[in-house]
Amino acid sequence: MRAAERAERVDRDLVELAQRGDQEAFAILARTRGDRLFGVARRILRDVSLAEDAVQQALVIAWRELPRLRDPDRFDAWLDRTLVHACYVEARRRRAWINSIRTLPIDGPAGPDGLSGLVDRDEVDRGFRRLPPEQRAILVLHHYLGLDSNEIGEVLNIPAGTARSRLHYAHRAMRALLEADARPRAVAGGRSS
Amino acid sequence: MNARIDAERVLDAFLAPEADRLPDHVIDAALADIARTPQRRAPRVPWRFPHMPALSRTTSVAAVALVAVVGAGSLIYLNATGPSGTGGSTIVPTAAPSASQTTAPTPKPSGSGIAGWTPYTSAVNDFTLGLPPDWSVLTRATRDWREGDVFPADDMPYVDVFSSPGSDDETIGLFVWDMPGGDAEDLDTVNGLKAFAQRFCTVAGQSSCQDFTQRAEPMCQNVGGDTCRAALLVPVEGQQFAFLVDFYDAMFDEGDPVDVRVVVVARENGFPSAARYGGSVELLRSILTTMDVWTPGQDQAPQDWFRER
Repeated sequence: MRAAERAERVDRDLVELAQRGDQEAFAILARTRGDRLFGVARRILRDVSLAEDAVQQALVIAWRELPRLRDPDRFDAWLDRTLVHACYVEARRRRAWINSIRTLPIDGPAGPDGLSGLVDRDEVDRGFRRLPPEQRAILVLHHYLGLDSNEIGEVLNIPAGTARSRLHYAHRAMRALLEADARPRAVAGGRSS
Repeated sequence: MNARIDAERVLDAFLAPEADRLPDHVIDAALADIARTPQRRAPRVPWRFPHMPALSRTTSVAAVALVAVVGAGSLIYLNATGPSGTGGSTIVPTAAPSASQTTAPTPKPSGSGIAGWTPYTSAVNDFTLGLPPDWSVLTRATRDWREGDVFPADDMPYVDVFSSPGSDDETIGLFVWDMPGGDAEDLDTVNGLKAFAQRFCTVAGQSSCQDFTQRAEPMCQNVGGDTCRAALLVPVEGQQFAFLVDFYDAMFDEGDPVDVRVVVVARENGFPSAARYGGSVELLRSILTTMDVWTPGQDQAPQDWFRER
């Protein structure tokens, strides 16, 4: 048995144990997935504190609802879905905070990164925050987790074709926001020259 | 900057993976919560529209619809057991739904005076609602609705039935149950729910189905932070219906068809005993607020849920 298969088997066993009420098994699952969940939530919510709350909430809900999961092999997609919904809840519950949140480390002064020369990081951040949580989520699933349309569909419980079109619209919305941000600057630049 | 921004490339860089470390206190807090949180283990009877032939499907929906139509319309069952008779029992307070405790929906409740109402939780149908304290539980659902159920019958094990106080001809019946919504409708939209309600009426053989949803009103269901997911209020002549999707069930019951929750107040709007609630429509609205379903505020309309099946 390959190492990956062994790991999957262990995970499946842990999920089944957790489904039967084994809290230690669930704790192992939670700890091994915590960083990834946090990464997703942080990017969707653009706020460390909200992301922590979303992860905590998602884990509690996942524990409570775990007996309903029919296929333990789909635990990760199911857990991601739970997290994404927890992010929606956090985003809407504390919408007022969104404009006054503390800055994420990744939002700090731009060092050399993949964005250099492409566009201003603040503009990207501003545009991204203006997207609805649903569009942010689908972009994070694709660009951060690297999921394709089929996998996004599985996480969001939507058909792959729907996931594809939503991803398309999210890209289009993001592009429009970036271009709208860039336009006044270009105009201003044109006037000053 | 280029006139045409490559959003995908920008997002690849902006959302690039890097070392994310979830603080230990978050996991510790979650595990502490989990230690106090029981798992939900309500077994649900599997049932699928897709595996049923069209005729059978229609018949099944008709059977369920009859639960509402016959139960709500005639109150034969209600009168047979009698709210003041031996069939009734006192509502036992149960925990209120967590969603309503943690969120503040923006719509304003149209009902009033519900603060002192008594919560009731259906172990089978998995809903919590509030009722005036003098109401009684006539029957508690003991299992999900399932294919092959016959109605009318002496008992309706899949319906939670409630009654207002009073003599047989004064009582108001309330019937609540879940039924599979099928996979053909866009149940997270008002139009999808209208289509469901229309079919519900038609297959139940009601005489005035042409107008069944004519007076239908969109409602807002508060689900977590989403304050306005689609629900539907359908006032008709003899009874008042509400249709709402069990979004939590849809979210977590992997692979299950979406359930639609049917809530019926079984009297016409002008029924004398309903006057103290503002009429049976207002009574239903008030009951719905206890289920986190609200009359939309101004400039508010149900939004499609970001999920399709």
